[in-house]
Amino acid sequence: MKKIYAFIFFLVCVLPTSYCPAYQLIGTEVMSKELVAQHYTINSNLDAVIVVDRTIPTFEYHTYYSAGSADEEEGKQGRVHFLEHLISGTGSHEYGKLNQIVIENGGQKSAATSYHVTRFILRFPKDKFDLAVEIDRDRYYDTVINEEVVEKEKKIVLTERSRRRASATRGSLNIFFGLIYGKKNFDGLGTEAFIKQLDPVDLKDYYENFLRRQKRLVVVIGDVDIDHVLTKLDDAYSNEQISGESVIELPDPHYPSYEVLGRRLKRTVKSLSLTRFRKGWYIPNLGHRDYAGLLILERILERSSNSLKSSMVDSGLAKSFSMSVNSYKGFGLISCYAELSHDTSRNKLHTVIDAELEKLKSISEAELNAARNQQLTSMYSAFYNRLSMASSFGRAFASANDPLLYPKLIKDIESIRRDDIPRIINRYLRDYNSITHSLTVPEKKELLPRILSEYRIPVLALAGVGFLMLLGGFIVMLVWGGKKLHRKFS
Amino acid sequence: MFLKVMLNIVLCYVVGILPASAEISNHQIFYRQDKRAPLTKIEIVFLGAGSYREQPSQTGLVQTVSKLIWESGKKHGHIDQLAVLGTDLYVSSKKTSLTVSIYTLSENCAKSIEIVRDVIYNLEFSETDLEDVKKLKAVDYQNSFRRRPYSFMRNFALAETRGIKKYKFLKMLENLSAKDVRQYYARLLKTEVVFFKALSDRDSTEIAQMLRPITEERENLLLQQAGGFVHSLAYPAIDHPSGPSAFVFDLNSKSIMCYWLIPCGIIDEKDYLPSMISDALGGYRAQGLLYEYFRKELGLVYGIGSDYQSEEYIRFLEIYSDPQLHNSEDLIAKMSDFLRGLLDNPRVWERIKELRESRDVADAHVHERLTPQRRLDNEVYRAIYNKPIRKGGYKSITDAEVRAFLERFFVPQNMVMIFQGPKDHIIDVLNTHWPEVDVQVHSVESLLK
Repeated sequence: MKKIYAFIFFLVCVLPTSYCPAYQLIGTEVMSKELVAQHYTINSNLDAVIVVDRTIPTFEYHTYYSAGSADEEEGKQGRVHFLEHLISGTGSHEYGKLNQIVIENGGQKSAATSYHVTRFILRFPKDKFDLAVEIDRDRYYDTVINEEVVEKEKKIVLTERSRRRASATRGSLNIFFGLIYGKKNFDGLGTEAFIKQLDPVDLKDYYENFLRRQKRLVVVIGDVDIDHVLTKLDDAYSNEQISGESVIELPDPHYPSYEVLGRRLKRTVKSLSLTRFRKGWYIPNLGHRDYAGLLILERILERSSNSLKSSMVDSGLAKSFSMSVNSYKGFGLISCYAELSHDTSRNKLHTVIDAELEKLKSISEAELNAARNQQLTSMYSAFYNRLSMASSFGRAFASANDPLLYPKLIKDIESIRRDDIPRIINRYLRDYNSITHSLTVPEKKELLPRILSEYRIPVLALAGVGFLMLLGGFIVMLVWGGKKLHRKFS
Repeated sequence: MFLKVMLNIVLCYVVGILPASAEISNHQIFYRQDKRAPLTKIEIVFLGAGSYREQPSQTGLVQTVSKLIWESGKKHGHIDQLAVLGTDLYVSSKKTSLTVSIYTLSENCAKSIEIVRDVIYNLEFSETDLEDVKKLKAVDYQNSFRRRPYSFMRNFALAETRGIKKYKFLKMLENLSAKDVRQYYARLLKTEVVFFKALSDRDSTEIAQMLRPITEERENLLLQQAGGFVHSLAYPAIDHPSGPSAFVFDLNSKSIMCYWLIPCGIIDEKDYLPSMISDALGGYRAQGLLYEYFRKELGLVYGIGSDYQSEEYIRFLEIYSDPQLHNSEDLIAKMSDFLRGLLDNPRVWERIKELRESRDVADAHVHERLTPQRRLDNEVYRAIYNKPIRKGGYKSITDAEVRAFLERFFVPQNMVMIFQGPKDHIIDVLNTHWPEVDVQVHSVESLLK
């Protein structure tokens, strides 16, 4: 009996103090000899990726919300970006105070909004980890959204917008992604009128009921102790309370309608100095093995010689040419972007693209190895840059819900074989699977009828002969008239 | 040598200045290990072969040769051989040197260096090749002009007010002859000091072994001939400021790009003071005095910051901001007052004090300079310019030094302003708030001509 009492006494004493952390390890990926990424869930709404890197005594602390400007309603874009300014700039403090705290503690901060992710960046010396979590937690629960901060930030956001609007490249990008997401006047910063009418009540509501309900990822890279990081995140977020119900599920990714797919669209803008040409093909998302093959294909298309890029630039068809492969929410895109003279035929561009893709269907083993090695060099070089590494984890999380897909991509790249390339080209890089958009100047009205401009030399010769005959006739008339007058007066 | 050592000891104990590393010896390897990625980056630096030594009539020669080396490697199949290994080859030039560098998977580094040796030591080119390279260089120049017109505006403004030559490059390019290039190349191969800069996950012995093909080739060549480039830090004199100048580049837009340049000497002078002033103003980070005052307090701009830079041999502080058209008058007026009143601004002194103290506290910004790559860059930079390391860093800088610096350089006659936006509006603003400024109006396109 004494034993039973002792056992009950033990339970009574120990149970309340024993603590079971909520976080769980859900994946590990070895990135290099020195770097290992560990993926944890902190609660149902928050994941964390931790990479210990003791090269310098600082750490990056990034928070990624898996929603961005493309996830906003049509006509109401700009609120996520505006909130990004408020959360990053003010947080839970009075206006300007947060900046001071960060500076005094030897840190840095910044933030950015992209199509499907909004990120907040903190960078501190290694002994300030608790402060980073405190700032992040206070921003999450208590960001100040009142009349004063909203009005002050409006001026800054409008200046930012005005500056961005001046870029023709950005304008072309907005139109292109407007087509992809099926939104007119697509602009992550919002229209001027929309920004001006934003009010604190609506913004607060939007923060509580939209942004804060998105899944989040915290990425910590640097000179940190994993147990300490997990303990602090657990303390801050294990009992996370969100008003209302559960995490918001965003609508399915928006695929373009068949009205847009396969078409070659253009828009005219008066003040352009160069035509902007952009073509994108739909591809699978990060995580699909073909995504790695497409990254290799991009390398080949963009190499310095014997490539699509060299065909475009060396022949003078394009002033500049670049390729990119990107992952978005639920889909990917391989796209090319060229800057052209206004008189460059865009049909010719398509012909060159088709010819180069056809040529690549018989790619050699050496060409494939070259592109693979260059891709690996490029991916490994990001391991020197914590900011870039953390962003890659964040994008993989936001677009495919698995941050470790980013380091796993290296293995996929090593697995690509020669026969994957023609298969990938045949499957994805087809016209009916693409969107093409050009931003150009209005066509000039021809001063001469077309027949005149096509047969310019014979027409000019005829005109010259006619002119000479007229001149001759005029001179003959003058001489004849002169003689006649001379006779009359003599 | 004895005198040099004694001088270093005196400098160290009397004024707190420690010497940087000694002269760079031939084939010296500056090395840092970084095991975070299986990569190796090697730079082969021909010291003394940079653009400083160009005759005014040959401006652009070193850049043209850099391009020619790469294009010749492409023509002879070396670039393709490197590409198979996943190796990128870069040939670049600076004021002091011409650099050939590779960036590759470490497992392919040794093979890549053998190919690079062939690129450097078997340069063959015809008159036509040179003409082709000149055309490519002209296109590169025009493309970079289109992408980053500001750097051309800045060079133009510095050239007009301080006499640097770089903006003449495109015009001079046409006159470069194959003879110029061959003469330069012959001297390049015989350069007295070539050193290496290596960052790798491999150890230093392995790196030294990998570099043998280059060092052996050079040893053979140097035994036979002399007369290569020699490194020296003798700079031409720069013009003195003649008054505040403003360069207005006309552009019909709703926002204005505004830059204030504060030239502050030449680059062989100590740079801790301008660096500290730039940090106090804020750098390009979202913090510091400029950000606090002009963005947070006044809400006049989105982007604002300061940076400490050099162009050719001139160093300068650069302050940047991007007001909307309707805010621009307020911004230009307040910025002008701010800069002219920096010496008497209590916030500046407070921030300087904070900077001195925060250097004792760990600072992320300072630590960022401690990555293996940055340490390597700094070590090489100090060695090239023989720059002293200030003992005690920012903490040792006195208020008197800061005051003397601000009094000398933050004066209206030393300021060069660059604006891009509607010219009439900007001229009106300058006439109202700064009538003594000498205003020049240009179009961006005119800079190409």
